[in-house]
Amino acid sequence: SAPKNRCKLHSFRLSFDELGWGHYFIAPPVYNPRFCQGDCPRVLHYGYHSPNHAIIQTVINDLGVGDVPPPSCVPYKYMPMSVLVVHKKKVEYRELEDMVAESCTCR
Amino acid sequence: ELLPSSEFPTSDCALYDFRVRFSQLKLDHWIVFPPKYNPRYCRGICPRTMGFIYGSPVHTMVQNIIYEKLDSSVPRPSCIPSHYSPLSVMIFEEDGSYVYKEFEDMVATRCTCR
Amino acid sequence: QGEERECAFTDQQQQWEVERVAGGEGRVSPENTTIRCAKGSHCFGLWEKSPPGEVRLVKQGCWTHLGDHQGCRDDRCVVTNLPPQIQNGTYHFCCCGSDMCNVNFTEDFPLPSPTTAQPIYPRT
Repeated sequence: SAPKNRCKLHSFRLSFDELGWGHYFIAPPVYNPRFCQGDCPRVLHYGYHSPNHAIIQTVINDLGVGDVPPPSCVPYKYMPMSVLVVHKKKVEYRELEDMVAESCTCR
Repeated sequence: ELLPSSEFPTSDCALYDFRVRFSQLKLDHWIVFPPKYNPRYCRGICPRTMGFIYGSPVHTMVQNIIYEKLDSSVPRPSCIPSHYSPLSVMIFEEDGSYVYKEFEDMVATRCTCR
Repeated sequence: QGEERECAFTDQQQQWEVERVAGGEGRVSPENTTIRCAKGSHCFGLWEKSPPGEVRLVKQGCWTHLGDHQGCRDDRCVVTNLPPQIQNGTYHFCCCGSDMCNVNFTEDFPLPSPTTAQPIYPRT
Protein backbone atom coordinates (compact mmCIF):
# COMPACT_ATOMS: atom_id res chain seq x y z
CA SER A 1 0.00 0.00 0.00
CA ALA A 2 1.07 3.61 -0.54
CA PRO A 3 3.39 4.99 2.21
CA LYS A 4 1.43 6.82 4.87
CA ASN A 5 2.65 10.37 4.44
CA ARG A 6 3.34 10.43 0.72
CA CYS A 7 3.19 13.67 -1.25
CA LYS A 8 -0.42 14.32 -2.18
CA LEU A 9 -3.26 16.89 -2.35
CA HIS A 10 -5.00 18.13 0.78
CA SER A 11 -8.08 20.30 1.25
CA PHE A 12 -8.28 23.58 3.08
CA ARG A 13 -11.65 25.35 2.84
CA LEU A 14 -11.88 28.98 3.85
CA SER A 15 -13.73 32.18 3.03
CA PHE A 16 -12.20 35.17 1.25
CA ASP A 17 -12.89 37.12 4.47
CA GLU A 18 -10.38 34.89 6.24
CA LEU A 19 -7.80 35.68 3.57
CA GLY A 20 -8.44 39.36 4.15
CA TRP A 21 -9.96 39.74 0.68
CA GLY A 22 -13.63 39.82 1.71
CA HIS A 23 -13.93 43.45 0.66
CA TYR A 24 -13.19 42.45 -2.95
CA PHE A 25 -14.60 38.95 -3.49
CA ILE A 26 -18.39 38.37 -3.44
CA ALA A 27 -18.42 34.76 -4.58
CA PRO A 28 -17.89 31.88 -4.23
CA PRO A 29 -18.59 31.94 -0.48
CA VAL A 30 -16.19 29.05 0.14
CA TYR A 31 -12.77 28.64 -1.52
CA ASN A 32 -10.61 25.52 -1.40
CA PRO A 33 -7.18 26.29 -2.89
CA ARG A 34 -5.95 22.79 -1.87
CA PHE A 35 -2.27 22.31 -1.16
CA CYS A 36 0.42 19.66 -1.59
CA GLN A 37 2.02 18.06 1.42
CA GLY A 38 3.90 14.87 2.22
CA ASP A 39 7.15 13.04 1.68
CA CYS A 40 8.77 12.70 -1.72
CA PRO A 41 9.80 9.06 -2.18
CA ARG A 42 13.44 8.19 -2.88
CA VAL A 43 12.35 6.59 -6.12
CA LEU A 44 10.40 9.25 -8.02
CA HIS A 45 8.21 7.09 -10.24
CA TYR A 46 6.38 8.36 -13.31
CA GLY A 47 3.23 9.50 -11.43
CA TYR A 48 5.11 12.37 -9.79
CA HIS A 49 5.97 14.15 -13.07
CA SER A 50 9.42 14.78 -11.63
CA PRO A 51 12.13 16.07 -13.98
CA ASN A 52 15.57 14.38 -14.21
CA HIS A 53 16.94 17.15 -11.99
CA ALA A 54 14.73 16.03 -9.09
CA ILE A 55 16.02 12.45 -9.41
CA ILE A 56 19.61 13.70 -9.37
CA GLN A 57 18.81 15.98 -6.40
CA THR A 58 17.35 13.05 -4.47
CA VAL A 59 20.56 11.04 -4.94
CA ILE A 60 22.75 14.02 -3.96
CA ASN A 61 20.64 14.59 -0.85
CA ASP A 62 21.03 10.92 0.03
CA LEU A 63 24.81 11.31 -0.25
CA GLY A 64 24.56 13.90 2.50
CA VAL A 65 27.20 16.13 0.91
CA GLY A 66 26.68 19.87 0.87
CA ASP A 67 23.31 21.19 2.04
CA VAL A 68 21.31 20.24 -1.02
CA PRO A 69 17.71 19.80 0.16
CA PRO A 70 15.53 16.87 -0.96
CA PRO A 71 12.91 17.65 -3.65
CA SER A 72 9.81 19.41 -2.32
CA CYS A 73 6.18 18.32 -2.62
CA VAL A 74 4.57 21.20 -4.54
CA PRO A 75 1.67 21.80 -6.92
CA TYR A 76 2.29 20.54 -10.43
CA LYS A 77 -0.82 21.89 -12.18
CA TYR A 78 -3.45 24.44 -11.19
CA MET A 79 -7.08 25.04 -12.11
CA PRO A 80 -8.75 28.40 -12.79
CA MET A 81 -11.76 29.51 -10.74
CA SER A 82 -14.87 31.59 -11.48
CA VAL A 83 -15.39 34.51 -9.08
CA LEU A 84 -17.56 37.60 -8.64
CA VAL A 85 -15.65 40.68 -7.54
CA VAL A 86 -16.47 44.30 -6.84
CA HIS A 87 -14.40 46.48 -9.16
CA LYS A 88 -14.97 50.23 -9.36
CA LYS A 89 -18.28 49.75 -7.56
CA LYS A 90 -19.47 47.30 -10.20
CA VAL A 91 -19.97 43.57 -9.82
CA GLU A 92 -17.80 41.72 -12.33
CA TYR A 93 -17.56 38.04 -13.28
CA ARG A 94 -13.96 36.83 -13.70
CA GLU A 95 -12.08 33.57 -14.25
CA LEU A 96 -8.86 33.71 -12.25
CA GLU A 97 -6.00 31.46 -13.30
CA ASP A 98 -3.98 29.21 -10.95
CA MET A 99 -6.36 29.47 -7.99
CA VAL A 100 -6.68 25.76 -7.14
CA ALA A 101 -3.93 23.13 -7.00
CA GLU A 102 -4.94 20.27 -9.27
CA SER A 103 -2.01 17.85 -8.85
CA CYS A 104 1.28 17.54 -7.00
CA THR A 105 4.87 16.86 -8.03
CA CYS A 106 8.27 16.45 -6.36
CA ARG A 107 10.91 19.03 -7.43
CA GLU B 1 12.62 34.77 -11.29
CA LEU B 2 16.01 35.01 -9.57
CA LEU B 3 19.35 33.92 -11.02
CA PRO B 4 22.52 32.58 -9.35
CA SER B 5 22.98 33.71 -5.81
CA SER B 6 26.78 33.95 -5.97
CA GLU B 7 26.56 37.72 -6.28
CA PHE B 8 24.59 38.31 -3.06
CA PRO B 9 24.16 36.26 0.13
CA THR B 10 20.49 35.79 1.01
CA SER B 11 18.23 33.48 3.00
CA ASP B 12 15.48 34.02 0.47
CA CYS B 13 14.79 31.58 -2.34
CA ALA B 14 17.78 31.57 -4.69
CA LEU B 15 19.77 29.40 -7.12
CA TYR B 16 23.00 27.75 -5.93
CA ASP B 17 25.85 25.88 -7.57
CA PHE B 18 26.73 22.31 -6.64
CA ARG B 19 29.26 20.30 -8.66
CA VAL B 20 28.90 16.52 -8.45
CA ARG B 21 30.79 13.65 -10.09
CA PHE B 22 28.80 10.96 -11.87
CA SER B 23 30.93 8.47 -9.92
CA GLN B 24 29.36 9.86 -6.72
CA LEU B 25 25.97 9.24 -8.29
CA LYS B 26 27.12 5.71 -9.26
CA LEU B 27 26.38 6.52 -12.89
CA ASP B 28 29.95 6.66 -14.20
CA HIS B 29 29.77 3.13 -15.61
CA TRP B 30 27.08 4.45 -17.95
CA ILE B 31 27.77 8.18 -18.38
CA VAL B 32 31.40 8.38 -19.49
CA PHE B 33 31.45 12.09 -20.32
CA PRO B 34 31.34 14.64 -18.75
CA PRO B 35 32.87 13.17 -15.58
CA LYS B 36 31.02 15.76 -13.44
CA TYR B 37 28.44 18.50 -13.82
CA ASN B 38 26.65 21.28 -11.97
CA PRO B 39 22.91 20.52 -11.61
CA ARG B 40 22.47 23.63 -9.40
CA TYR B 41 19.63 23.69 -6.92
CA CYS B 42 17.16 26.06 -5.33
CA ARG B 43 17.09 26.78 -1.64
CA GLY B 44 15.74 29.44 0.68
CA ILE B 45 12.70 31.01 2.23
CA CYS B 46 9.67 32.05 0.19
CA PRO B 47 8.62 35.44 1.56
CA ARG B 48 4.95 36.33 1.08
CA THR B 49 5.48 39.87 -0.01
CA MET B 50 7.92 39.05 -2.84
CA GLY B 51 5.73 36.54 -4.68
CA PHE B 52 5.72 38.60 -7.85
CA ILE B 53 9.54 38.51 -8.07
CA TYR B 54 9.48 34.72 -8.29
CA GLY B 55 6.74 34.64 -10.89
CA SER B 56 4.63 32.66 -8.45
CA PRO B 57 0.97 31.95 -9.15
CA VAL B 58 -1.80 33.43 -6.97
CA HIS B 59 -2.11 30.06 -5.26
CA THR B 60 1.33 30.53 -3.73
CA MET B 61 0.33 33.85 -2.13
CA VAL B 62 -2.85 32.23 -0.78
CA GLN B 63 -0.87 29.33 0.69
CA ASN B 64 1.56 31.77 2.30
CA ILE B 65 -1.29 33.70 3.94
CA ILE B 66 -2.83 30.44 5.20
CA TYR B 67 0.54 29.37 6.63
CA GLU B 68 1.23 32.72 8.28
CA LYS B 69 -2.23 33.66 9.53
CA LEU B 70 -4.57 30.69 9.64
CA ASP B 71 -2.90 27.30 10.01
CA SER B 72 0.86 26.79 10.17
CA SER B 73 0.40 23.03 9.67
CA VAL B 74 -0.22 23.95 6.03
CA PRO B 75 3.29 24.06 4.55
CA ARG B 76 4.93 27.31 3.59
CA PRO B 77 5.47 27.53 -0.19
CA SER B 78 8.72 25.83 -1.28
CA CYS B 79 11.66 27.20 -3.23
CA ILE B 80 11.97 24.97 -6.29
CA PRO B 81 13.34 25.11 -9.82
CA SER B 82 10.97 26.62 -12.38
CA HIS B 83 13.18 26.31 -15.47
CA TYR B 84 15.78 23.74 -16.51
CA SER B 85 18.28 23.23 -19.30
CA PRO B 86 19.34 19.94 -20.91
CA LEU B 87 22.77 18.28 -20.62
CA SER B 88 24.76 16.61 -23.41
CA VAL B 89 26.41 13.34 -22.37
CA MET B 90 28.32 10.41 -23.88
CA ILE B 91 26.81 7.07 -22.91
CA PHE B 92 28.61 3.71 -22.87
CA GLU B 93 26.02 1.19 -24.14
CA GLU B 94 25.84 -2.47 -23.22
CA ASP B 95 26.90 -3.44 -26.71
CA GLY B 96 30.15 -1.58 -26.10
CA SER B 97 29.27 1.41 -28.30
CA TYR B 98 29.42 5.06 -27.30
CA VAL B 99 26.30 7.12 -27.93
CA TYR B 100 25.73 10.88 -27.74
CA LYS B 101 22.57 11.83 -25.86
CA GLU B 102 20.86 14.98 -24.54
CA PHE B 103 19.08 14.55 -21.21
CA GLU B 104 16.26 16.99 -20.57
CA ASP B 105 15.83 19.03 -17.37
CA MET B 106 19.23 18.23 -15.92
CA VAL B 107 20.31 21.74 -14.83
CA ALA B 108 18.15 24.15 -12.81
CA THR B 109 18.33 27.62 -14.36
CA ARG B 110 15.71 29.53 -12.36
CA CYS B 111 13.88 29.26 -9.07
CA THR B 112 10.33 29.99 -8.07
CA CYS B 113 8.09 29.59 -5.03
CA ARG B 114 5.15 27.18 -5.02
CA GLN C 1 -17.05 17.42 -19.88
CA GLY C 2 -20.90 17.46 -19.74
CA GLU C 3 -23.33 19.02 -22.19
CA GLU C 4 -23.78 22.73 -23.00
CA ARG C 5 -25.74 24.66 -20.42
CA GLU C 6 -28.39 27.36 -20.90
CA CYS C 7 -28.61 29.97 -18.15
CA ALA C 8 -30.61 33.08 -17.43
CA PHE C 9 -28.46 36.10 -18.23
CA THR C 10 -28.65 39.55 -16.71
CA ASP C 11 -26.08 42.24 -16.28
CA GLN C 12 -26.84 45.52 -14.60
CA GLN C 13 -24.04 47.13 -16.63
CA GLN C 14 -24.79 49.13 -19.81
CA GLN C 15 -25.94 47.32 -22.94
CA TRP C 16 -22.68 47.76 -24.91
CA GLU C 17 -20.81 46.10 -22.11
CA VAL C 18 -23.11 43.11 -22.26
CA GLU C 19 -21.60 41.91 -25.54
CA ARG C 20 -18.04 42.55 -24.29
CA VAL C 21 -18.63 40.76 -21.00
CA ALA C 22 -20.62 37.90 -22.53
CA GLY C 23 -18.27 37.53 -25.48
CA GLY C 24 -15.82 35.52 -23.42
CA GLU C 25 -18.40 33.24 -21.77
CA GLY C 26 -20.99 32.16 -24.30
CA ARG C 27 -23.61 33.25 -26.80
CA VAL C 28 -26.25 35.69 -25.55
CA SER C 29 -29.78 35.45 -26.99
CA PRO C 30 -31.03 38.38 -29.09
CA GLU C 31 -33.22 39.74 -26.31
CA ASN C 32 -30.16 39.01 -24.06
CA THR C 33 -32.09 37.25 -21.29
CA THR C 34 -30.42 33.86 -21.71
CA ILE C 35 -26.91 32.66 -22.48
CA ARG C 36 -25.59 29.36 -23.82
CA CYS C 37 -22.51 28.40 -21.80
CA ALA C 38 -19.49 26.24 -22.53
CA LYS C 39 -19.65 22.48 -21.94
CA GLY C 40 -19.57 21.52 -18.29
CA SER C 41 -20.55 24.99 -17.11
CA HIS C 42 -23.04 25.83 -14.37
CA CYS C 43 -25.30 28.83 -13.85
CA PHE C 44 -25.09 31.52 -11.15
CA GLY C 45 -27.24 34.31 -9.83
CA LEU C 46 -26.54 37.32 -7.61
CA TRP C 47 -29.26 39.31 -5.87
CA GLU C 48 -29.30 42.17 -3.41
CA LYS C 49 -31.72 41.57 -0.57
CA SER C 50 -32.20 44.49 1.80
CA PRO C 51 -34.66 44.89 4.71
CA PRO C 52 -37.59 44.68 4.98
CA GLY C 53 -37.32 42.13 2.17
CA GLU C 54 -36.80 44.01 -1.06
CA VAL C 55 -34.88 41.88 -3.60
CA ARG C 56 -33.00 43.33 -6.59
CA LEU C 57 -31.46 41.14 -9.31
CA VAL C 58 -27.81 42.11 -9.91
CA LYS C 59 -26.25 39.49 -12.17
CA GLN C 60 -26.93 36.10 -13.76
CA GLY C 61 -24.87 34.03 -16.16
CA CYS C 62 -22.44 31.15 -16.69
CA TRP C 63 -20.28 29.79 -13.88
CA THR C 64 -17.51 27.96 -15.70
CA HIS C 65 -14.82 26.97 -13.17
CA LEU C 66 -16.07 25.61 -9.85
CA GLY C 67 -12.68 25.15 -8.26
CA ASP C 68 -13.90 22.98 -5.43
CA HIS C 69 -17.16 24.69 -4.66
CA GLN C 70 -19.66 21.84 -4.17
CA GLY C 71 -22.70 24.09 -4.02
CA CYS C 72 -23.15 24.29 -7.81
CA ARG C 73 -24.24 20.73 -8.43
CA ASP C 74 -27.88 21.01 -7.37
CA ASP C 75 -30.72 21.59 -9.84
CA ARG C 76 -32.02 24.56 -7.83
CA CYS C 77 -30.17 27.76 -7.03
CA VAL C 78 -29.86 27.66 -3.25
CA VAL C 79 -28.05 30.33 -1.25
CA THR C 80 -26.19 28.11 1.23
CA ASN C 81 -23.83 30.61 2.86
CA LEU C 82 -24.26 33.73 4.88
CA PRO C 83 -23.75 36.68 2.54
CA PRO C 84 -20.28 38.24 2.62
CA GLN C 85 -19.74 41.55 4.37
CA ILE C 86 -19.53 43.54 1.14
CA GLN C 87 -22.53 45.85 0.66
CA ASN C 88 -23.17 45.16 4.41
CA GLY C 89 -24.28 41.61 3.86
CA THR C 90 -27.07 42.16 1.34
CA TYR C 91 -25.57 40.12 -1.50
CA HIS C 92 -27.07 36.67 -2.02
CA PHE C 93 -25.12 34.35 -4.34
CA CYS C 94 -25.98 30.88 -5.61
CA CYS C 95 -25.03 28.54 -8.45
CA CYS C 96 -26.62 25.40 -9.86
CA GLY C 97 -26.36 22.68 -12.46
CA SER C 98 -29.44 22.55 -14.72
CA ASP C 99 -30.73 24.69 -17.58
CA MET C 100 -32.21 28.05 -16.48
CA CYS C 101 -31.87 27.03 -12.82
CA ASN C 102 -30.62 30.52 -11.92
CA VAL C 103 -33.85 32.38 -12.73
CA ASN C 104 -34.54 32.72 -9.00
CA PHE C 105 -33.12 31.53 -5.67
CA THR C 106 -34.06 29.99 -2.36
CA GLU C 107 -32.23 30.39 0.96
CA ASP C 108 -30.85 27.59 3.14
CA PHE C 109 -28.19 28.85 5.57
CA PRO C 110 -26.51 26.06 7.60
CA LEU C 111 -24.68 26.99 10.84
CA PRO C 112 -21.10 28.13 9.93
CA SER C 113 -18.71 25.13 10.36
CA PRO C 114 -15.05 25.65 11.44
CA THR C 115 -12.38 25.43 8.65
CA THR C 116 -10.24 22.25 9.00
CA ALA C 117 -7.46 20.75 6.87
CA GLN C 118 -8.05 17.15 5.95
CA PRO C 119 -6.50 15.04 3.17
CA ILE C 120 -8.65 14.38 0.09
CA TYR C 121 -7.56 10.77 -0.04
CA PRO C 122 -8.20 9.05 3.30
CA ARG C 123 -4.95 7.54 4.58
CA THR C 124 -4.86 3.81 4.06
